[in-house]
Amino acid sequence: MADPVLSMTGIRKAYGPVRVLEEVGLTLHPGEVRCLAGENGSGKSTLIKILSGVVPADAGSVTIAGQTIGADARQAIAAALSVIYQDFSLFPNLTVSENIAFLKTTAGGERWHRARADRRLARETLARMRVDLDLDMLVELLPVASKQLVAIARALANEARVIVMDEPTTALTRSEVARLAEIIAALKAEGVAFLFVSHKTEEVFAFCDTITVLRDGQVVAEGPTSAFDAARLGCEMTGRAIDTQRLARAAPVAAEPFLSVRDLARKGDYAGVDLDLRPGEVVSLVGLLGSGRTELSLSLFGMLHPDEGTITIEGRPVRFTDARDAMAAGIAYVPEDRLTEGLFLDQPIADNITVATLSSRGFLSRSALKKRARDAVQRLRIKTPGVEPTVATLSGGNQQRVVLARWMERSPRLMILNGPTVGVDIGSKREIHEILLALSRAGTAVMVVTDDIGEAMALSDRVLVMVKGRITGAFDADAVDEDRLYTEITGGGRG
Amino acid sequence: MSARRDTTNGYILGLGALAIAIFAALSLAAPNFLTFANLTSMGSQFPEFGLLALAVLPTMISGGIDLSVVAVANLASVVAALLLRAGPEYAWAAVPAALLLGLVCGLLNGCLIAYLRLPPILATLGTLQLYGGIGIVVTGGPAITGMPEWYGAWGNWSIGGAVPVPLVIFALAALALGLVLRFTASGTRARLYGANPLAARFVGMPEKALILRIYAIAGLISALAGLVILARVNSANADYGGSYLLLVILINILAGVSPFGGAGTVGGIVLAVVTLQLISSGLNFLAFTAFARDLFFGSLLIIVMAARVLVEKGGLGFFRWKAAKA
Repeated sequence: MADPVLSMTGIRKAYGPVRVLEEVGLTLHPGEVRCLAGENGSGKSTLIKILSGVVPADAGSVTIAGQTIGADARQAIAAALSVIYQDFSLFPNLTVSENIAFLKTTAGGERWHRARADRRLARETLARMRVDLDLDMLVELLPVASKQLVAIARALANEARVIVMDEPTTALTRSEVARLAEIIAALKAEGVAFLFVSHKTEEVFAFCDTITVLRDGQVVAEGPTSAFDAARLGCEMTGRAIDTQRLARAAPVAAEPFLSVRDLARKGDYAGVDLDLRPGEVVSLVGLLGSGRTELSLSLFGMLHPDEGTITIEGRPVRFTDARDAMAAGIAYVPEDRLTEGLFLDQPIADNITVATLSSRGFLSRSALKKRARDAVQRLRIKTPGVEPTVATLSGGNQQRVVLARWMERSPRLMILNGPTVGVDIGSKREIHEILLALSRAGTAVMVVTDDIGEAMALSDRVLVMVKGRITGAFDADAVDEDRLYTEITGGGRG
Repeated sequence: MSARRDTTNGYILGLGALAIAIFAALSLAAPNFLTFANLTSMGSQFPEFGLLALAVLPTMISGGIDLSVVAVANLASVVAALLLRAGPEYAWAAVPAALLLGLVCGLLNGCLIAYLRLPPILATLGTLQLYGGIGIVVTGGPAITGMPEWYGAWGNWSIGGAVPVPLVIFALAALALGLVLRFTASGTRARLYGANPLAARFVGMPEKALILRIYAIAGLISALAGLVILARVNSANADYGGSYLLLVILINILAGVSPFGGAGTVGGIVLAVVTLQLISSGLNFLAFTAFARDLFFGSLLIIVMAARVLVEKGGLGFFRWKAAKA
């Protein structure tokens, strides 16, 4: 086998007394796609920061293409390593070609901006990837999947031989994931090596040749992908066996719906939607990005206004002007984007938990608020030393629990969750599912909006499929399998 | 993983230490500094711009700003002066009318921001001109003088001969605003709204009512500042305190109030006001020219902000900052 293009040996790192990485080693050969799997807090982001020269290691060495890297990101970039973070770090106000050429030309030390050369480089790079994009389009106008392609092209234009991708498929639909897989296969053949940082088992198996599992700062398993299956991978990542079976339910479902929707329509978003949500029942609404699932759920929470149709709550027609009305009717909504819509990041955990239940009359007792927050922290097992630190100090799973805790304070009759476990590790995901089922057992109607079929199957009594703004199928979760649902959400079931 | 470190408390302590250090240094360097007369005189100087700084505080915490505070104060003082001069049968209404006017000016600011969705900086820049313009038209330009003696008297009066009345008003206003910001739902909401207005909508925060309330409070405190100015100067001028606006915003920044919203305390404002007053008086005592004041204020502000960034981000390097974000 050829010499590795990347090798890390004996990497150690501690922040104060906390040991984050211990004797971690990792190699990558040209044309290899390796997955670095691990839960949040396993040390994988620290490892990436060391790899890219952003954070110095306490011990150990990093060699990229025969060059030893110190604590300087520019060294790593010069040594042909590119990291593509989840937000892609593109310039939204520049064009596709300017973004692609940026690292190579402007950041590469060229003094004059030459638009023609930029365009040529961009065109050649996209041709290498067999991708067709408008070179003059502003990047902010591109869909997420295309932004990712621009980020990959930027790395390639800079002659990257190792591309590290952080959670690359989080925001992609199934067909976009398939396209990404093709591009990666083509680049592999050229000898480009990839390191995928991920905790999504599906993508690990779809993309990767080899797997390195990190847990508590140590490599606990390593080998070719064929040596793993979903159960073993989950087990290695969490350190305990996780069954991917459906969760036990057995909540009595009420006969009368809490909320009913008839013939609801909103121009350009959805049309002809009928929906019944019953106390004690978990309903999943599955659909791809752009299927109208988010717009529909926002309409049930008063954040968007339908043009036609009726929403009734316990038989009474309602019309919500904003979220306050929906909340007064007993509805809670966990938004899709936790960081921008759900949380007040730089504010204390206590305020994040109690914000939806502040009493407007008179003075607040800070100690009573904190006590309530502490109780909620304990109940939902949120891992934090207290309720005073900002919510930004928590991991993704714990942040999501803060949002859940906020709504559970209100004892809602209906809880709508849009992508409740996006960016949450497997262990936390399971626990969040348990929380939702407990809610459902206590008589709350639960609606989960998701594109994670596995999640829909594990959680729900009924699964509704949404395609292009219409509900195209309704299934009893016991009587349908994942493959069928995959076909349905891509519209394959009806051509 | 690693978020911005919350350095607010440490910063406030540092600011307090700085104030004490300046106080101590001046006491040693200028023998007349630590005299009764000087301290009392300082105590009657800062309340007016201190009150204006307090007025801006809630708007900045909520992610906005109020540039019209000085104009509102002047307009309130003009209205109060006109009523006071009009004779004893109207004089009683001077204070309530001025405060009511402040409230209405603030509500108008709030309406422009909440209903027309104008950016606060533009809305209040507009009303700054509007309120100032009304004042100029009403007075015709020159200052209004000839107030009854009793009104001007309290501005220069001290309780027990030691505590100037304007200082007492500032202290009470600071206390009241502090209570509202820390211990009411509106105060908490203003801070959270400033931190993330989108998330605030997702928890059903009463956005419009909240903004109206915040700017009404700002208008009310501005009018209070106008009444203090009227008493101290004993005349009402539609374009008094031209340099106050920038000073007041500088005080807020120096006080650790986030220009992006979501953070800021009354305690910080009080310390920042006192620190600037100490420096200003100190410069007089050390016989610097008055022109040097801006130079010192500006340098202090830049040094403080730079030090804060360095401590918070743990360095200046762009890539380290990226790392903290990732």
